[in-house]
Amino acid sequence: MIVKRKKRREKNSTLNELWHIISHDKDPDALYSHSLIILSKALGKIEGAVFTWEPHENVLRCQKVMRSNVLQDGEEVLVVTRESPLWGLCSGITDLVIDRQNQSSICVALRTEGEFLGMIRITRLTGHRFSRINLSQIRLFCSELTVAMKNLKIFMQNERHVRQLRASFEISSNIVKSIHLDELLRLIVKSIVTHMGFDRVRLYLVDRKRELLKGEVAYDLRGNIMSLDKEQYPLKSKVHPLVDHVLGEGENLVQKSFHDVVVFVPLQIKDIVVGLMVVDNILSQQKISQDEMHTIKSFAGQIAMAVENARLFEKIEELSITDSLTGLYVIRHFKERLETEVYRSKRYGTSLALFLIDIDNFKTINDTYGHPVGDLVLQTIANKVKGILRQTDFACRYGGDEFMTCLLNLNAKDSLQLGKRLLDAVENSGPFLEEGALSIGISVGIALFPENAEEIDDVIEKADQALYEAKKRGKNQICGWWEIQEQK
Amino acid sequence: MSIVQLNFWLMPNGDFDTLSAIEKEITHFEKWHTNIHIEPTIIPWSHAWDRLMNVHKQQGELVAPDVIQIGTTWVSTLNYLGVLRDISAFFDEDITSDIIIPLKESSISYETGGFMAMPWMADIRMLYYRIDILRLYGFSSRDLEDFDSFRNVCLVIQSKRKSPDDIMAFRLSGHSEVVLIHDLAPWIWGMGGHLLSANLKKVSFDSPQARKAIHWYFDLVNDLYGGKDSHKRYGIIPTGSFFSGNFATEIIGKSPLYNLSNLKHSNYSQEVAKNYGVVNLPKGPEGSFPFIGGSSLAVPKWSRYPEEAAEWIRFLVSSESQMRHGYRIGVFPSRISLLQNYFKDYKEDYEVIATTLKNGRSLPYSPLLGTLERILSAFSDHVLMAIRSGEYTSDFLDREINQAAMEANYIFSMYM
Repeated sequence: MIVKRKKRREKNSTLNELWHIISHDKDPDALYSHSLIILSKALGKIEGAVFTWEPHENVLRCQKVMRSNVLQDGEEVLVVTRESPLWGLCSGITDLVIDRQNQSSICVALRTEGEFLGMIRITRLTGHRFSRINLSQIRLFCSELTVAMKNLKIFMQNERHVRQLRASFEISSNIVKSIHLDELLRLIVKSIVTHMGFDRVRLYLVDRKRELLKGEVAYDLRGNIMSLDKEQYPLKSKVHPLVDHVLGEGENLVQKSFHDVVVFVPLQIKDIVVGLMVVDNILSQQKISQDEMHTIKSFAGQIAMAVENARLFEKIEELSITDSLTGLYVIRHFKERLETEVYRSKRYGTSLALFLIDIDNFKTINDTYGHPVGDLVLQTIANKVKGILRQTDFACRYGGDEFMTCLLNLNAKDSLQLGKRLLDAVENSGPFLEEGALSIGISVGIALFPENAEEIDDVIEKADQALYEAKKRGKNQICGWWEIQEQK
Repeated sequence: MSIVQLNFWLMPNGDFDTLSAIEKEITHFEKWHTNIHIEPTIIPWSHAWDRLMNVHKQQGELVAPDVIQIGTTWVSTLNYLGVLRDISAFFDEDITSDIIIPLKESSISYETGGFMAMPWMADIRMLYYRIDILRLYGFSSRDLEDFDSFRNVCLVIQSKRKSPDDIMAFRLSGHSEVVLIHDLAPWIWGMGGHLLSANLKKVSFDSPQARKAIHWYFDLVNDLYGGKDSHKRYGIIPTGSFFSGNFATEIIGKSPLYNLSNLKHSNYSQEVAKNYGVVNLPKGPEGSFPFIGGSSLAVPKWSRYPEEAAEWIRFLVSSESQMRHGYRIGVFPSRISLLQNYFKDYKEDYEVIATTLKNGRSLPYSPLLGTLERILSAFSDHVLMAIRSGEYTSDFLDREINQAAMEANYIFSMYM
């Protein structure tokens, strides 16, 4: 008798410890495992299984199974219909179903506050039926387990919300971290993948001027950042599914069948779509939850605003460094870049050529034909100047009717040839008037760095001297500063 | 000396108790590696992918495995998602050069050329048949040689059934009620079709040849098990198995030879053990191209002990362990040199497997294989449902193929 009591006490103390554990389990897997261990300790040799209820599909999905004291993940899925013996359990008519053919097997509902969470199926391997005391013990245990499951569900929901809030905070702070568009877009895609764990995020922006949807940047779970600049689609209906999203034409049937792994989020300010974000879990095949979709969509406005701000900033920056009429740099910015190039030339022993260009008789053109024609002439010549520039060269509007270019790695002979090409191009431009009477010409003065001078101001000065010489020669002429020296 | 605990996630293979089988290997390993403890967790195939993804995306928040068993067809996707660590440096040429070729090809990263997983068990598909049943109806193994004669054998056996308990003609592969991509692929290959285009940027299971093969396959399933007759429907539900004596033929990629003859498995039938034969898959107009796949072992990037993990893998792919474990759970080793030894008492079966190895193919290396699998599973689910309800027609199948191809191409256009 005493031994029996002692054994019962020991058994109870083990059970109490396990009870304590399940009320603190923070992982469903552990909760189900511990529950089955408790049941087997209390009831002896059993086969137990914990099922959770999936109301949308009307199925009970086995999460954990214990056979011969070995715990395994369950695979069994029970579809519950009105005809099914488990219907009463799921619908709340009963809390216990005894298998008619095998009376040593029972299913007990896990229900709290009217909500059905799942069931436990217990089969006694000894073949004995369950006594009344057993059944009341099991019911008591199941009600405790249900509370633990409910608490765990709330805990996990909270955890998820905290994670999402943290992600939202991180992403929001990253969105405002940069005012440079490229950097901003990279930060956005990177922080969304990093904090929300999607397979990939892609960003596309609308180019209203060119009526295009342009790929910008993508970031994936491996940490790869990829340029999408090869992707460009005309902003026309049915050209590309991405464009249809921008145009608000919604998803087609095929896209709808993947709505839980690919989410399209138009980036919109009021009614204007400035771009499109595409988030996907195509490879991992993990469903993007409604919560996650809401979180991503909540960023759309912020991202659109940040993109617009960055674009405005770029525009202002552009305006501050370019001449609005010709699109060439203003002198201040030209000189800044020139300083950099001179520094680089000195360091690497390279050379550069400075062209100072003046329009012949520009004052007469303005006075005779008016400023609109004068402006047209300035724009035309600016375009011809741009035409001789390579990617590394640059030019500015130096004064009212003067331009200056900086051409890298050009010797005396090549610079004279290039100057001649420019002269010819200008001579053949126009007509500027309907009658076609106006022909224009330019004079070009060239100085070389470091051959003609070793300081910036000196090179400019020498290019100016060469220009003066060119004008002296009778306009529509070209002169290198070294030619003046040779004449002396 | 501190002991390193390696968490090892593996999936059940064969119809055997995986846990007790692997525990025997762990005991062998731990005897010689006293500083490493292996903690195995058995995860059903149906849960494994999600569990892996959860760990990958919430690193540090869940208990993570240090070594994982993965399907060979998962390697490309897991590699693309950045899950796998390159383990080339841990394995000598004598092991890597001994791997069955299609398995080896599917384990190598296309980007870096590195070994991303080590093939462990091979799934080499052959056609198992009941000699006694075929003989009963006047057939022999020669009648299983091509698509048409195989179809004829199946139809005759099925037509002779009188009661639900009688043997059925052909068991559909798989554990669930869907036809998986690798179950369908050999028929498509046999007809001269392919699953993906040559540049892997589009699907081609809607090409005329592939379409013909899909029609051939589902027509057969429909003729065998179609309609509302409940005892016919039983064949679609994979509840029985060839080795339990429920079916006259089945395409199987494992071989419980020793367990079958020793009848260690309670569901295995003595009758089958005495009367089974093995042949290559039936030939289509273009030939017989069986599927070769299997399971590999990999070290995830987040593994805390990559060197110890590699040591455990090296042990599991060693000749001794592969042979022991292979016999125990009825799967083939992944190394060519071991296969002959595996079949040492079954010379005729070895000849069949040797031909299968020559012609066998693995699935194309594409990170989108998993998504393609999902699309084709849904497709086959629809088709089988129509077969069960008696609504299956050729037009219906064509519409389903078109829909599946459209969905798959949409996904490919998003990724490739």
